[in-house]
Amino acid sequence: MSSRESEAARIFLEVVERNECGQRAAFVREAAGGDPLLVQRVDALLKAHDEPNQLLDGDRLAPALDVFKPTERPGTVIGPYRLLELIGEGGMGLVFMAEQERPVRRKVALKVLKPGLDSRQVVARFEAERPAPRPSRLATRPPTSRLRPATITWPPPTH
Amino acid sequence: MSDVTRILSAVEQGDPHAAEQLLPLVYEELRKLAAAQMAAEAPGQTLQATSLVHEAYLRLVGGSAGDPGWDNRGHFFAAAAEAMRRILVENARHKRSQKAGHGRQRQPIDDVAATVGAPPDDLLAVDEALTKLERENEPAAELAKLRLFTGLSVDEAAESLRIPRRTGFRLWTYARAFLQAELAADEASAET
Repeated sequence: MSSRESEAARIFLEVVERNECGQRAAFVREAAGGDPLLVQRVDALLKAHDEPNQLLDGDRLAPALDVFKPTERPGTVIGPYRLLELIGEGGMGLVFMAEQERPVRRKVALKVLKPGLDSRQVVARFEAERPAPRPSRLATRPPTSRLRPATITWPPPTH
Repeated sequence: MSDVTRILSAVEQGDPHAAEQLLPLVYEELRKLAAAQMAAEAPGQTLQATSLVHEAYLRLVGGSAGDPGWDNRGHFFAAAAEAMRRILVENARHKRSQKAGHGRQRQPIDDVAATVGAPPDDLLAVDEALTKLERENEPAAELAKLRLFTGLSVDEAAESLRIPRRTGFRLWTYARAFLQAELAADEASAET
């Protein structure tokens, strides 16, 4: 923590706990020891403290759990694949029978990483399940059965 | 001893990789519980994040013999808060890219995320502000994550972080002001 910010936090909390609205300004100036940037920062925190915010004050973030529903389903198009049927579900991904539309039309088994799990580390583990080498992100491996396994990390990892 | 109990013990002993192993397991259990509850409940009902996280803890760690107690529960809740945050952020990014007319091609799916409490841009702004707070004051950010993403009260969050109640309230007061100041500054710069 930068030292000015930690000073600002200390003074801010002291003002809030004293709760003497009338003498705030004088107290802040004195506590800040003549540092105008520090005074400015404490004032900004105090102003924010008094402002309502529905997201921060309510429980609107926490109950938003319907995002746990998988958004992939038969019919969804992901890159060159169209999902046909859910054929399996693992800890980190859903496996669909999918139709690849380009460059050739064929059926593949497509594993889709679940949302929320695409930190680089998880993606690396996920990718490791596929035999190397792979020429591109959308590579498929040679057919071992009627369905060609393919893995896609989509959307691309952001963490 | 369950996987999660073992990982929690490793976290407790300072194994830096253990916390990363916890995240997918916690995530998966939350997802399963959420799916089961949604199947049972009437549409339009909101799920209580706090009760889900508590239930996930009981199922994965258990309340009987071998329960590592409240000490380890803190790490579990921290993982749950981070899992929720990532899920919400990914979801918000996805919705925003759809709205902007680029990103992945998809068929419209009406029942997904229809009741998410916050518009995607607001949620992403909170996430960004939280990342700044993590750099300035890690304990305040940890408490804010628990408060915002798992719905714990400040009291419960303080208990789970093993800090005194009063310290918890001070951290939350600061974290809330910090986040609000960032959000207000964001809004001001968007308007000019």
